[in-house]
Amino acid sequence: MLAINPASIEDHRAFANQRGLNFPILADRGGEVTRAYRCRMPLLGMVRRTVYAIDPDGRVIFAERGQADLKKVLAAIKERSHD
Amino acid sequence: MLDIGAPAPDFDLEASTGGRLTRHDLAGRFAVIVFYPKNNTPG
Repeated sequence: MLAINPASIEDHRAFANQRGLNFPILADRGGEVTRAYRCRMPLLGMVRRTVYAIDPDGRVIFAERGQADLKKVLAAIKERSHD
Repeated sequence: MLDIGAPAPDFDLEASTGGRLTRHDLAGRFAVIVFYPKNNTPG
């Protein structure tokens, strides 16, 4: 798992340390990656909370806005891994 | 949102864990990517 957000790498490190997070948080300073993944609101430039699961071939197998249910994410991965 | 089955766009970004991470680093395994508005917000 990894997280992507426009904040600085220093901000991400402080946040990860504070919360004890052991997954990488990536700094998308210019917002280009957020835009490419269609998670940026066109006029406001704000990030829309979105969860994706990607398969080993680099294709999207799960996509949901908001607080995605982890069980649904894992179910999508499990289903794909049985193909 | 990206459609199911769409290729995940490339990225090459600095990581909190040190160094950079690219989409190609994820090749060959399943990955979950979360986009969120700000640190210190729920989720």
